[in-house]
Amino acid sequence: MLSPVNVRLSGEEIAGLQLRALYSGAGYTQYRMSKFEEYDLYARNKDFLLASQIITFSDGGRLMALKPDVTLSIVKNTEDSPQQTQKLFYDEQVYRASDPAEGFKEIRQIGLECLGAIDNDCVAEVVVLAARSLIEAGAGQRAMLSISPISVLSGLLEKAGLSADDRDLLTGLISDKKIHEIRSLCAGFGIDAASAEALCTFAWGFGSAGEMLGLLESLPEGLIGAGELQQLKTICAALGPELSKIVRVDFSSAGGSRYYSGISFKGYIDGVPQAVLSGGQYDGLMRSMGRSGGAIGFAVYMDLLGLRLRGREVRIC
Amino acid sequence: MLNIALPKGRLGEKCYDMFERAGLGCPSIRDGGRKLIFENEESGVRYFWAKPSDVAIYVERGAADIGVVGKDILSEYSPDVYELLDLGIGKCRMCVAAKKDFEDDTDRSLRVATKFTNCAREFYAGRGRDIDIIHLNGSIEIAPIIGLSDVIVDIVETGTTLRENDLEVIEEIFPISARLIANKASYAFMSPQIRALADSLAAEIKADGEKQEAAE
Repeated sequence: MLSPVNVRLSGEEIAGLQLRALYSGAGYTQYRMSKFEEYDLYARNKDFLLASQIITFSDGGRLMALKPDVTLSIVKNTEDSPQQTQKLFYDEQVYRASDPAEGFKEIRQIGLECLGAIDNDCVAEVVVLAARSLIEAGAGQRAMLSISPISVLSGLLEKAGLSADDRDLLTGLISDKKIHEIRSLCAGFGIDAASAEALCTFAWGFGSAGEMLGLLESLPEGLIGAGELQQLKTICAALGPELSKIVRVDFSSAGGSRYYSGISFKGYIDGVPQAVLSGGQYDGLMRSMGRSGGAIGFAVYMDLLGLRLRGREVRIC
Repeated sequence: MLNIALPKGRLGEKCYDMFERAGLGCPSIRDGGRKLIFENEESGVRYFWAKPSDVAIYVERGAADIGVVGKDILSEYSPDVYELLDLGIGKCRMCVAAKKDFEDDTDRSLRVATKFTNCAREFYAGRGRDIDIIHLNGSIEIAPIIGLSDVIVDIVETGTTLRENDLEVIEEIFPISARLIANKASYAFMSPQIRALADSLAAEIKADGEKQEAAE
């Protein structure tokens, strides 16, 4: 018989347990992995990596890397199943130097990935779980999930007749909310004043997905694809009134536009200066790795979350 | 409470005047002395004076929700912040300057003395020119005179310092002015307040511009 023990759990550990319970309760299976991967995987997919530097070592002639990322390994090691949806969650350490001045860090990430057949319901489910993650892990702190329907923005810019480079330039300015530069660039590209103002409005962001939906529906027919509108409607319905309060649409959450397609999101907890959650659809990565299915997922950065949860210990006897 | 980091000095004082006119006054800030933090509970605002080059760090790290910083600092350090508005003040230029008789010898690396190593590196990389960066922290103008460098990359406001040291601008890299920046997480929670301020400042800048145009 096991003898009783006194355990003291830190705020970060409690949040970790809550997130794992949330994801397994939603039907996601835990995916465990080793700490190493062949470096070649990252060299081939460096456009999809957040880390600019990777810790490498030689293992019997093979160049190995300490994992800077979880998603690449999950995509590589799971079967391509475009007709089925694989729902996985993980609780892993990654090693990266996002800022060279800060050096390498071991970062605990808990997150989930949905791979294969991804429909609007699946996207909405992941957005709902991202919002719930912030509530569960934030331990009562104010939370905010910014979602960015990238496909709406890229569709609008394509219809404006801009080249891929010009679209990237404008998307970058929208991501940084450089409203003053958006106006002058639009004038340089010959985009009419009304469309330029619409892009500035997108850059500022909206109060809620409902408001955003209202604006998009009021635009001239054909400007926004029916598929994009339907996806936003599905997300709004799935969020319901409670979660809608903590979700806002913000095109500046697009992040690395090469990584995410369709939709991306970032989650914030009041008092933490950076996003504690980041995710989105990454069909581009799937294509680049020879997969025919879609994919969506997110990660919660436990080191950042831990900043806000210090002192929230629980003693279990 | 909206935390605002302003650069110490004349530029910061100008910025505060603009913020005050936008409804975010904090009268105690005008009391003088060496105090660095000022709060006005009534208007829900706390100001602090920071070293100009540190403002972006305060904002990026969330110690301040918004701040004012020069485009030179944003270009050099690329902090992860939103750049919401060009305030149109503190105007100057990032330039390449050299001795008046300077001729570029493309047979060898160009020796560039600067405080802004990233800006210089990016500028010359765009030209495909091989350079040797010499990082200095001040009095950059001395470098070409005493033969430490061929050129300098530095901020030029009126050009007086260059002229007095027999140097001249040989190329402008980009124009500089003060920018309103915001922490990304703060923006997520305080966007109506921050946007209202930015809109108000933008209206003031526009009105000033129209007045100036009319006067000319």
